[in-house]
Amino acid sequence: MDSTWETKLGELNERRARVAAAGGQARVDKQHASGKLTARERMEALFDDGTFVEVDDMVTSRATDFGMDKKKVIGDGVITGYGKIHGRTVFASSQDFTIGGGSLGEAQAMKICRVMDMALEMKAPYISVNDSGGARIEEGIDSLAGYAGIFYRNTIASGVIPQISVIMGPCAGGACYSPAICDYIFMTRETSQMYITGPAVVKSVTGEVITASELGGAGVHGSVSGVAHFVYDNDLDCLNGVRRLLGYLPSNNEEKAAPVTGRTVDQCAKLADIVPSDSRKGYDVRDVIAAFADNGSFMEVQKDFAMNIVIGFARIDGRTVGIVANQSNYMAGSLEINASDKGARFIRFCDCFNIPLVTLVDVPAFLPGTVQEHGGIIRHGAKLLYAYSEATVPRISIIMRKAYGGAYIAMNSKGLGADVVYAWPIAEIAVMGASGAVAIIGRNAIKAAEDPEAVKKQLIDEYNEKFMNPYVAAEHGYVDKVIDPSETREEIVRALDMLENKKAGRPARKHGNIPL
Amino acid sequence: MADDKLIAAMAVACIAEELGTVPEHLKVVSFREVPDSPLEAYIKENNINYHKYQLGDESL
Repeated sequence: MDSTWETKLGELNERRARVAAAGGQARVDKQHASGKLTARERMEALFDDGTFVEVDDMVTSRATDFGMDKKKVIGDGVITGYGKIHGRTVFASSQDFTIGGGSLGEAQAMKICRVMDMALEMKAPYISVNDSGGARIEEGIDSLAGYAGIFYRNTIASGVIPQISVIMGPCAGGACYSPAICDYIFMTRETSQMYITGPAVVKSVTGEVITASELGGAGVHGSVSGVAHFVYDNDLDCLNGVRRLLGYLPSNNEEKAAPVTGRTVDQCAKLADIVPSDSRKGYDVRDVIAAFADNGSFMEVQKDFAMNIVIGFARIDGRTVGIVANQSNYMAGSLEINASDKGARFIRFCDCFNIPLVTLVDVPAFLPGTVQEHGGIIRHGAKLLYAYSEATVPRISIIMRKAYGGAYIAMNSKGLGADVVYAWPIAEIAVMGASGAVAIIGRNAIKAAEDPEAVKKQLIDEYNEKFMNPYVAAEHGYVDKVIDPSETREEIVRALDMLENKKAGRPARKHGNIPL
Repeated sequence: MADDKLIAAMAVACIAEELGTVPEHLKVVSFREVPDSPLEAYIKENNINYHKYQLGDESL
């Protein structure tokens, strides 16, 4: 090796060392002290060991205003690249808070956009780890244009590749809209916040005094706003959550999720003990899911938000399915605004990525009341009907118990295009419950009776006997088969097998117009 | 030290198996210690109980 080689290699190594040093040891220590990993450590935890390949690692800002020419840091506050997760290619960006607070300027945006373009071209999932103070003010509108480029790509890639945002620090202002367009948002419990306007602006505009955590912490977004789909205690657990979620998903909209063979024990024999025959008694529908899904395979999405509906991924015989289930233990499983939004978005995600849907029905109604009506339950509830109706993936329903009125229709009924509808023998498929129905259709008879209570009871018994069962629906073809609950898993497996190659067409159009 | 020798012997045996030969046919020139990555170092320093999720872990 001659001296030129030595000089050039020395320069390369010096530049590489600067890339690896990020914002310097003091800032790395500060990042660790606040309970956060560095951007590079996060990539190491996210990807399969030794597979992460960084791209554009020497990109540097070209900005010169406001002294930016003296603050240039190699990499410009974001790490971008690709690697393997469960052996499949995945692209990612990870903002580096130790460099300029991870603020986004022109060069950082260019790096992120580049890796997003690569993900879309290679039809591989894209993961964005956010830990940034927001737009780099010194770079002015170039920062804003950078965000716009990211949002545009998020939108174009929507429904083509899975997009996941992981919030592991601040994510404020316009920056929130990239995660919002993505399919899933992960947050860390104590170290992440998302808000359009922070506490200081809130105070100056409205006078309200509120902490960053109270305004946009993971607790709030996981349970109140529904913005966050998954909340974890720390970075490592959170990134493991992302790895787990990716295991259920295909790489793109042209593939199916790879099957995963795990241990399976059919526990459907205990379903009749889990679900009380008395439709007024509650139970945890997650116990039902655990009984028929592959062992431990249920990964719940938005578990603390709109808890009257349970959604998530599971495996049945190794195949990924999306589960949508009414939660009897919460608001009796009735549907309302948030549950409709939550269910509809999940159904649409599954439909985008060829994931069959299994719907568990035990629903008394859409929740009545002024709050719901004035809040737009008509508009929101319609999303659920629309999402099911437009979905072309295999769709299986199990009517476990109550299935009343419009809520019955909305929960993947035969009329909305369900492929296979099963009902358990205790199912009650009707316009409404017996007492409500009798109060309307028996009103005159009860009023005219000498013993109104006796007539009312007689009419309720008659209604129960005639309508509160699955057999009328089965006779009319709205239920394909009435099954013993113990047969649930094997029937779902058979239906999934039968539907494996389902191809359902829809009329040509630019896109539908879902009520938003 | 005994552990290090055992680990080295096992490593040689694994490499031999991968190469389809017997350990006696391999000549070890040197061993180089691979330093911990920043993440591994952080996990060790903070005594964090960590296992990277692998597909199917949930069924165990």
